[in-house]
Amino acid sequence: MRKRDWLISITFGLALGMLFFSSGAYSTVLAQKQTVVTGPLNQVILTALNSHTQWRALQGEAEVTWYGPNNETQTYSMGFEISQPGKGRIDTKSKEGNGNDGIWISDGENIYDLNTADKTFTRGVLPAFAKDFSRLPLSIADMNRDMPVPHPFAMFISSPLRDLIYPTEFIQSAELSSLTLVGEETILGRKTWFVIREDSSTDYSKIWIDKSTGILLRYVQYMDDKIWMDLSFKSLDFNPAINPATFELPSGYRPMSTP
Amino acid sequence: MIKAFSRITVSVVVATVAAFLFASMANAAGPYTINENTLYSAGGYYPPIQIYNPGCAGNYCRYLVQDSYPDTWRWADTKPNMYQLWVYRPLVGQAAAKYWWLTYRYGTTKDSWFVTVDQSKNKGTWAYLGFADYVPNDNGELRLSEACVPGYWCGGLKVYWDNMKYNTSP
Repeated sequence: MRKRDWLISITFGLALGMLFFSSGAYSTVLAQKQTVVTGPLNQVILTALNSHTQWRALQGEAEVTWYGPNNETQTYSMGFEISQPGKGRIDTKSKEGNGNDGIWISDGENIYDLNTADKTFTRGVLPAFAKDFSRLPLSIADMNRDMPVPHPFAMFISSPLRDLIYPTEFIQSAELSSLTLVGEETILGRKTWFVIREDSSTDYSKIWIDKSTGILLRYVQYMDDKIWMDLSFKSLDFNPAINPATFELPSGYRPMSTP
Repeated sequence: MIKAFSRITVSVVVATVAAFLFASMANAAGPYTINENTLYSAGGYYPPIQIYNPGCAGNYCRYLVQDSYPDTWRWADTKPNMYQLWVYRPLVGQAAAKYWWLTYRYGTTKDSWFVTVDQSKNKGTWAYLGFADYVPNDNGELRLSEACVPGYWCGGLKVYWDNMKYNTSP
């Protein structure tokens, strides 16, 4: 080969190398990927991964019961409104009156955590990436179990409700072999897939996935072979018209100095 | 024909080397790990207690039990231009906890947001806490307290400080 041939080859090789790396193919090759699933479970997983694309707004009521030691329970009711891509409000009330109540609000720019007992709030910024969905895996091949990518807005929802509304992280963080499609059931008049996820012989979850939208209608978690959490919607309205004032900071609250 | 074959062979070799070099450059920007032994107070009096458990990253975690007087402890500062951030959910995780992520530039707070992570779920995986809106930055920090989070079980559960990791945008 002459000098010119070497020059052409090296230039072409560098260009190819840059293209390979910048296209993300490098990380794709190296990243640990989940095994591909076939059959009905494949459809279940895909529906859950893409659930955020199936609705624009949500409104309703949900309830969670936590089961502690000595048969103690803590139950919270949660009224909620979510308007994609970045607005939401969740009013949480303890049924036992334990004081762990609060209101979480995102107005699309800021996030407010309101303490309803002492009428104070903390404010955080909703980062720009909260509306950037480009990193979300939309197929099983894109999932990485060790480093699941949560829905970027869901990350900022300070409530267990986010596990129902945005189930993508739950699905990604499961070993696919741990998921079993048990059957179909109806909840709130909606058809669901009933799926069990077994993380170990004593830690497992039961979830009911809405067949048409992919959100979870109920999520029951077991730890050490005992029930730990039972979270479910009590009512659910897809794409309602929500008053924009819902997402504004209510009057009467003062900022709290953060720790 | 032979010339074309030689060009292709050299190109493939050079492409492989180039890709490796680019990857090495990227690796130079992380990920970096900061473990829980770097913690210092950001409004905390009682230091998190160290335990040995194979379910923790590096076999060790620290914890505080939820109470009404939460202590805030932070990991060591990151390098400049911190970009993406993760925190490890140890297999012994129990409680929901609110992480507070900050970045600074010229002494001014730039990024400041809270991410609640339920440590009882998706255990043994890295919880993604997002990426910085402000790059370049001089450093970043991650804080955590054992305060209860509305809607989650409150009282008597252990909140864990384990490894965090991040990368930088060079």
